[in-house]
Amino acid sequence: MKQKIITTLILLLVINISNAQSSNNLSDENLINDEQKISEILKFPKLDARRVTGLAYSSIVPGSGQIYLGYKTKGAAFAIGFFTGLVGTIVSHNNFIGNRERIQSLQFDYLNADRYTLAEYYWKQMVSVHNEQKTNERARNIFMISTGLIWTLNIIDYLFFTEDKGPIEFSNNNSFNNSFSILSITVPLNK
Amino acid sequence: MKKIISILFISFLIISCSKTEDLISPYHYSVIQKVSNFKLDAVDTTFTGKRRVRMSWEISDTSNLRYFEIYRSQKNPDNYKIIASNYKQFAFADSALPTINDSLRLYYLVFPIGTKTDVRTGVQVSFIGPPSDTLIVTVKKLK
Repeated sequence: MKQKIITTLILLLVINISNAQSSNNLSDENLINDEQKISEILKFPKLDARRVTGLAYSSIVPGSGQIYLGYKTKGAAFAIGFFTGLVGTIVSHNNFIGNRERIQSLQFDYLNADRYTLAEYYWKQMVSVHNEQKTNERARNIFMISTGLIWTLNIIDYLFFTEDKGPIEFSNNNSFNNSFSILSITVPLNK
Repeated sequence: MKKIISILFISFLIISCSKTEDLISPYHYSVIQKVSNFKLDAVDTTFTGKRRVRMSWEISDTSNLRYFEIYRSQKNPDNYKIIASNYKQFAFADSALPTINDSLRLYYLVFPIGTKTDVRTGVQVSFIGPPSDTLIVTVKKLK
């Protein structure tokens, strides 16, 4: 919440500074216009049936709502970013669990070692795997936070910065028909 | 809607909080100490005319010490063979040397044997401590 307030304040500040640089006339009217612009940007849009459907899509598969509303590139970017992060998270977490199981196994051997050299060998292995586990934990957390951020940005983008381009209308398009006729085979039925 | 987004984001962060557990504290450093000051005292001859290697060592903590095992090899670091077990002194004389043609290089190690508590049964079991530094001895054939 604090971050959002700070972000809004920074946004206000940046807009004010840029306006101050472009024109030195600081009047009440300018300030009112700025506030109106910001409130227009951050205004919660009306959710019609298409937007609600798109929001449901975006919530489950980030970027799919944008694609549904007609923004294919942006949607694909969100989807690729999200799934890359998700795969990274799963792989890192899987390695993390693998390391934990390996440590448990090594710990059993270590505690049952009957000689110093063997105990030292298992101990060194445990320390090495433990360090590896820490690295995997860090990677998993980074990937998970990135995935969460991408998902959140995707929802914010969908709600505030993605307009509906309207449904795609299917028509008796010539190009479509031509491309279709190339692939078609004529089957003589009368013979 | 904003609240839902915040809740989902925070829950994402909470899920990621399963942390790496700390390792158990190592026990093997404190069971029994390493033998120190392992040195050659002399290479001499027994009254029967055999060559003999005399060596000695020290150990700082004898509270968990049961006995020593002494190993000898002609090819370091492999092929060590036990030459004395259940040995409770701090000096040893090796007179059962291999056949010497002209001269012979020998490598010695001393292992202190202590006890530790078995984690499964709770019974005291033997624990072979850390090896000493290698003692290298060259024995020449008597003319």
